[in-house]
Amino acid sequence: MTPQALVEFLQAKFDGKLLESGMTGSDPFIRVAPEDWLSVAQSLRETPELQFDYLMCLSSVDRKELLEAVYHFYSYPQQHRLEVKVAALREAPKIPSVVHLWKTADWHEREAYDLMGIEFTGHPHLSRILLPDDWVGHPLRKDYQFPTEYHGIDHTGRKWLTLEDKIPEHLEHQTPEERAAKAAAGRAGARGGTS
Amino acid sequence: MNNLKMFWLTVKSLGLGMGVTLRTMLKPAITLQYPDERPQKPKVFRGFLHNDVPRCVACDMCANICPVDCFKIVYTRDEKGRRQLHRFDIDMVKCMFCGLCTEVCPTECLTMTGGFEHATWDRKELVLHFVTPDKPALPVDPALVAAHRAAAAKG
Amino acid sequence: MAIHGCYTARFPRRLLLKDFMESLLGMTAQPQRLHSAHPSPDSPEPHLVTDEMVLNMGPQHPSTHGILRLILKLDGEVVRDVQAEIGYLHRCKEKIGENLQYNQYTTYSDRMDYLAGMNNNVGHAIAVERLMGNIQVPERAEYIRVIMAELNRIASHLVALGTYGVDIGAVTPFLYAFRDREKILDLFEEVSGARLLYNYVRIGGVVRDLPEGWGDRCRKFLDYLAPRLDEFDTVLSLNPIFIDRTAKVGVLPADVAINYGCTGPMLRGSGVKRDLRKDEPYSVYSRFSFETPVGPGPRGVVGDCLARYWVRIREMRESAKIVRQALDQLPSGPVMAKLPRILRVPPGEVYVRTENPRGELGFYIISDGSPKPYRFKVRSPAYCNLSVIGEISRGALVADMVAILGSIDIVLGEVDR
Repeated sequence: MTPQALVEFLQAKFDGKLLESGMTGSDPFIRVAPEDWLSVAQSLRETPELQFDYLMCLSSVDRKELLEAVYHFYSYPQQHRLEVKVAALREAPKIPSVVHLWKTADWHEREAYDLMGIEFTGHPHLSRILLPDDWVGHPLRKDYQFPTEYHGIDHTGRKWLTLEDKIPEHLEHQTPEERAAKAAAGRAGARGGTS
Repeated sequence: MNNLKMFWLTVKSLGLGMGVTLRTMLKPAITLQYPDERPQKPKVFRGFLHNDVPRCVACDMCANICPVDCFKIVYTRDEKGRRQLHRFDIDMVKCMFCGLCTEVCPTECLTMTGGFEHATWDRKELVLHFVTPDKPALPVDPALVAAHRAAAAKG
Repeated sequence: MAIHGCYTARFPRRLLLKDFMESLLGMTAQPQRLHSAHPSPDSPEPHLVTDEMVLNMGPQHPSTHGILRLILKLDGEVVRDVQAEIGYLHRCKEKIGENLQYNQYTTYSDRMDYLAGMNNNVGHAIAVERLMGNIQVPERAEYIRVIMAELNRIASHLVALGTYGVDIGAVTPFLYAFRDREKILDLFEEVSGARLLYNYVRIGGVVRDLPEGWGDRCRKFLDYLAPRLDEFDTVLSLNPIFIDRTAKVGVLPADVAINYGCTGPMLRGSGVKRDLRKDEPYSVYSRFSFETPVGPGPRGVVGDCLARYWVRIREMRESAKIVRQALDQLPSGPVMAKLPRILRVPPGEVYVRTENPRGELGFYIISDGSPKPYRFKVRSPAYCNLSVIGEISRGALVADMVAILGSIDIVLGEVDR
């Protein structure tokens, strides 16, 4: 189906469930509430005109008061694309999991949970995947504070020398003549010292 | 019979494979004996950075474009408004060798040399100091800086 | 004689050396019986109970091609379950993307799939160009992008197949593959200045033009490559031991592959003829004629390790074809569009996918009008390809794990980002 026809078909099919629909750039997109997401997902997969069998990408976006999961679908038989946005409140970010429909979502939902903190209810083993299991916080959130240390490893970074610090002598910038003169002076001093 | 056929297949493929190996063995070696024979690096090779300080106008464009912030450039403006470089350090430990700083430099004083064999014992020695507080660079006219900036923004 | 009970119906018994020797020499051996996990009173040693063993194919392992931890649950030598633990090479590329300007990110895009730097650069450049409203990239730059991407595909497949041979046990083709790859890296060094992390394809074109005589050197390399690929076939692909170890191992059915989001040679090895360069052509791929290799290899079934290996070998020849055509059609002209130094990207979002040597690399970029992206998500093909390992290795033997993992062809830099 062409993108425009797809949008109209979806608007007709999921009459009350679409919070928003239209085109972003060249892709059709719909926005669904978390409560309706499971039934809409089932229809997206099973309706003969849609047949979205391939979940391309599942991203998580931080939209200030909402945490959003963006799904990109593609249909190999019908060769059309769709973008679905499902957003939940930041205080209680719970979105139903679609692992039973598309196994791609298994690892992608774990990553969204890990990096953004969206909880996918119904996921068989929702745990951190990219970060260590004892990491605190969800880094992709806009209000994330980078920790200063992790198990004793310092995270503040190396400190630069400031203008007032004296540069150690062996790092000083010297022309070859100056270096030779200094070396000669050092040798003369040593000779003078030992003689 | 099937087993004999498999036996023959094995012997045949062994023969073909060993033939390839023998042919390769008779060709000249392509290995460079490294410390004695070094590979020729092309002119665009992205090695260690070098700043030709007399040409530097302290415009800060390299520091702004660097993705990893490995530059430390300190300059002051004197009473005539001329910029004077007091410090130009590049932390090669952080440097990604992307070459973006050399592309934006308007006077082309910052270049990438062909050097890559600079392993040191101490990480601090990989911080390159091109200007030090005891020997600052000569002051630079602000009009010159503005002209270079304008030329760079256009091109 | 037979070995009872450990093979599932999906993996028919393969000819073992022991069988071969016995049938050839007429010897017989004592019947072997594995104790089941639930001993019955009828079994010869009812007091012995076997257990499942958990084996760590640990983060440090030469065959995992990076830092990957596979937790294998074994029943004797048969794998019952595999859990992959990733994240050892996580470098926060997506968070970094939110803090850098668009044109500063190109160096970081190289480093994700470090074996296919040009392809990553091309994907990133095309995504941002589409986000900016399809800016016009000069034609010469488009052709150069295709040449670089295809040469890098050949280089990446050479690494994949060379290391696959080493995992299986064949050490010779590994060095042959790397010897040929050195020539590609020399070509890239003349163009971009670096051997692995190129930072060459930028937003709006490529950063500098090809040097003098590069086209001839490239053609000479392609003439050199064709007999080398035949040699590679002789040494590895048609080797009975290699075929024995990879045929009918790790079979991935097509519907499972699509469900898990596998793309690239994984999907084409399972018989699904999908190639983004042909189905949704980006850049100037529509002007070249090339085949899409698919399906079963010389032996074995559709979707096994040998099929995926076969697809990669054939893809190298097709990439060489594309490079030749591109060199013949290369127009003259500028190589970079006129763009401001700080790119102002209009608000919007885009999801662009390009064909990486490992599959479909997707960039999902949301822009809010500022010079830095609001959200920068990378959909890496190796991530989805690796997630299928639990499914396809159930019932395989421990030694097959290495074959299966090598055929998936992962790069941990891309899996973990």
